[in-house]
Amino acid sequence: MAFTGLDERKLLRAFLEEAEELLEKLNDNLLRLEKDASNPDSINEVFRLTHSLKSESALLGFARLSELAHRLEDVFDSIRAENLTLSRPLMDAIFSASDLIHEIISRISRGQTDSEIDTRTVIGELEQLGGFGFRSEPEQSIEAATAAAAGLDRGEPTLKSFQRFQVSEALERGEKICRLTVRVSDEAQLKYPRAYLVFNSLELITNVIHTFPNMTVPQDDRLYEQLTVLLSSDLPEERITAVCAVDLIEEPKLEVLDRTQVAELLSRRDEGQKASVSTSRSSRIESSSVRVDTNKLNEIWQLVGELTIYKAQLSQLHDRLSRRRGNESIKGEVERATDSLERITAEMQQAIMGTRMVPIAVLFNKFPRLVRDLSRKLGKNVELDIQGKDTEIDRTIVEGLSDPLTHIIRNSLDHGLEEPEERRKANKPEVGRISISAHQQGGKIVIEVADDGRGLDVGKIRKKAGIDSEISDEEVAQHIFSPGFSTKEDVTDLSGRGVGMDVVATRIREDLKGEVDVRSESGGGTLIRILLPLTLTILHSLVISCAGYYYAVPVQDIKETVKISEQDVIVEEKNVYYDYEGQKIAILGLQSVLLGRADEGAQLGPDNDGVVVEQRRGRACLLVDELVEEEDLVIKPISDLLNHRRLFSGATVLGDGRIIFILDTARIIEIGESGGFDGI
Amino acid sequence: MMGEKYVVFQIGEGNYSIPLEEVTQIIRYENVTDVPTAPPFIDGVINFGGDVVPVVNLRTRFSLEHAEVSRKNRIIVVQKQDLRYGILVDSVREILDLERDSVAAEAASVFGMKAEFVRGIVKIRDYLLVLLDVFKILSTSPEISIME
Repeated sequence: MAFTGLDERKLLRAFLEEAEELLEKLNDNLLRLEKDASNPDSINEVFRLTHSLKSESALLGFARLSELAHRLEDVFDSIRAENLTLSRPLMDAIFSASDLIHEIISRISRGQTDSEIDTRTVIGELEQLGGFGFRSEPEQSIEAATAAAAGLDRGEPTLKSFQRFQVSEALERGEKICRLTVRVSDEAQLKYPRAYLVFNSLELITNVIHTFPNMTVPQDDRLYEQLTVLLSSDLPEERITAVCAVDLIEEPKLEVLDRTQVAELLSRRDEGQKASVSTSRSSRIESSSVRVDTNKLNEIWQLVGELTIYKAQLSQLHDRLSRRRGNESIKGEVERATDSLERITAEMQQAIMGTRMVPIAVLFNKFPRLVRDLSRKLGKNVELDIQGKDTEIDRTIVEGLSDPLTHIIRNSLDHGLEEPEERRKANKPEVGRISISAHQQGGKIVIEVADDGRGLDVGKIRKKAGIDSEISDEEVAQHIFSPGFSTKEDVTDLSGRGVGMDVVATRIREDLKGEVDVRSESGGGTLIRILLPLTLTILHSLVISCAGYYYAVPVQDIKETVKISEQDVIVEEKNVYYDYEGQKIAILGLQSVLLGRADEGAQLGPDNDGVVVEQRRGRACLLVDELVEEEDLVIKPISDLLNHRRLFSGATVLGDGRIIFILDTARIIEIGESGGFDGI
Repeated sequence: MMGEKYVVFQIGEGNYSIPLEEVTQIIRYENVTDVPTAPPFIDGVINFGGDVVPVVNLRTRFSLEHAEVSRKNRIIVVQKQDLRYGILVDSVREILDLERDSVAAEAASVFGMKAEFVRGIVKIRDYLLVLLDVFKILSTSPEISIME
C-alpha cells in the first residue's frame, strides 16, 4: 500500500503510535504470563491487544501483520476458553510471533511494507502448537475482522471505506449482500455467547462485513438480545440461515439487499466517523496520555523562553513608567497586568517543563524481556527486580540512556552472573539476581544496576592497568570505564566487565552530563551507579561575577562556596593551592583561566569568594569577584565561534534580557591541572 | 532564467552580497554583550528571539581598520541549520534581483579576499559586487585569515 495522501499518512502515523504502545503492553503481559500462565487478566488483555492490532493493521492494508495478529488472537481465544494451555513451547512460539510483529512494525515505520516478511513459519508453529488448523483464506478472515472491528453503536451500519470496498468487491464477484437478524431468547442467561455461536458459524461460511453489536469485543451483555449481521455470500439463503439453528436463537430473518438498498448503504457516510473511531480506540486502550512529537514540545519550550524575556522587558517598562508622574490609574492597571503575566508565564514554564518529563518506566519496561531472552540463551536463571519506575526524567535523557543501560544489564548477565553450577559451589542461591532501581536525590536522578554475581577481579585489573598498591581497590575498579581498557580477549579473564564500559561511560558523562561509577566485591556482586541531571534544558546554577562579566556555574558541579583568606593558601612556585578538607586543590583565578592566562596565577585579595567545583577528574577552587544569585537557567546552545576553547557548556538569557555563559567546570578543572596551558 | 534576490551591503569601500534566502532578519546595532573570551572579530552576542547569537564584525574579519559604530551599521542575522549568526556590516545598501548567468562564473580573489570565500563577482551599474560565501567565512577557524 502506498501512502501518498495526507490523510493516509496521518492514519499511518496514528497507527504506528498506537502499535508501539500496544506492543509494549503485549510484551508486559506476555512476561507476566510466563510467570503465571493462568493469569486471566493477562490472557484477556493479550486477546484484546492482538485483536486491536489485527483490525487496525487490516484497515491499513497490512495483510501479513494482520494475519499474524489474528493467529495470536485465535490462540488466546482458545486459552481463554480453556481449550488450550500455555505450554513452554507455545509460549516460545508466542514470543517469536511477538518479535516478528515488532520487526514488521519497525519496517512499516521505515516506510516499507510487510509483504516481504515471511510469517509462514511462525504461523505454522502457532497452528501446530495451538492444535488447530486455520482456515486457508487469510484475506477473508482479515476482512471479517476489520468489519467486526468497525463496531459502530447503531443498528443501521455506517460503513468504513474499507467495508464499502468489501461490499463493492463482493458485488463484482457476483455475491449477494445480505442482512441477517436474529434474536437471542430472554431465557439465555448470557446472551453474548449465544450470539457469538451464530457469528462464528457465519464467519466460517460467509464474508461478514459488519455486525451490530460488535462481536469481537464483548460489550454489555444486554445489547446482544438482537444481532444484525451484514454479510456477502454466494451460498443459497437456506445454507446461511441454517447456522441459526442454535438453541435459544429465535426469529432468524435473512434479507437480500437489492440494488437500491446497497446503493443507499454505500452512500451513507458517517460525518462523525473519525470521532467514533477514536472513541472506540480509547475505550479499547485505556490510557490518559497522548504521544507528542518531541520537536513540537521543544518549539513550545522555545516560545515560552521568548515570552519570559518579553515579560521582563514589560516589567522594566512598567518600572520606568512608575517613576514618572501622572496617569496613576493606568499605572495601576499596567502593574496588575504585568503581575498576572508574570505569574502565568512562570506557571506555563513549570507546566511545559512537566511535559518534558516522563516516568523512567518507558525505559525500564523493556528490560524484563531483555533479561528473559538473554538468560535463556545463556542458560542462567535470573530474577529481575525493578524499583522506582515512576521516577520522572527528561525525555531526551531517557533516549540517550537506553543504549548504555542496556549494555550494563547485558554485561551483568553475561559476565557478572555465574553459571548455576558455579553458584551452587559458592553457596549462592542458584537463581541469580539483578536489580535495577531509580530514584531522585536532590537535583539528580540516581540509577543503580546491581547483581549478585562474581564481582570484579580487582587484582587482575590492577595488573593489567599497571596500578601500584597505594591506590584503593575502589579506585582501581573505576578503570573499567577507561578508554580501551578491556578488549574482547580479556572478557572471561577479567570477569569481562570492561567490554564497552568505556563507551557507556563516555555516553553518560559527555552526552548526558552525568556520572557513573562502580562498586564491587570479589564474589559479592557488582553495583553500577549512574547519576544524571533531571533535565538537560534547565540548569540550576549559581550566577557569579568576574572582572565585570557574569557567568553561571551549574549547582550540581559545586561542592561548596568558600571564603578564602591568605592563611588558607599554600603557595608552591607559581601555583596557589587551597587546603580543602585536608586535600590540596588548585586555586584558579577565573578571569585568567578564561583569558588563557592561568599561568599568571591567582591574585588574592584580603577576602575572596571561592567556588569549589568537583568533577570525576578532580576538584578546583575558582576565584570569583562576587557570588550573585542562584537561578534556574534555560540552556541555549552556542556557536563554536564563541566557544573555540570549549570553556562553556552553553549560554542563557536572563529574565532582564542579559546574556551570560555557563561554565564547563570539567574543562576548567582540566585547564587548571595542566597549569593553564591548554594549547591556545 | 529566474532572478534571485540578494542583499547588498557595504564594508569599507567594498560592496558585498549574500542571497536574501540566507537572511533571517536585518536589525540595528544595539544591546551587544561583550564576550571577553571570544576571538577579536566577535563583537559580542545578542539576544535574538531568546537565542544567543554571536555578532561577527566583518570589518575586523576582513582585516580592515577599525571604525566606530554609527547609526548606519546593521546586523544581518543569518541562519544555518540550528545556529544563527549576526554579521555586522557598515550599512545595507539595497536588495537586488540578479540573473544567475550575469554572475561571473569563476570565483576569483577580489579586494584582497581569498577566492574560496567568493561565490562570484557582478558588475552592477557603477560598482562591482562581490557575492560572499558567508557560511564558509563563519565556519572558518579564527586563526585562519580570510584575506590573502
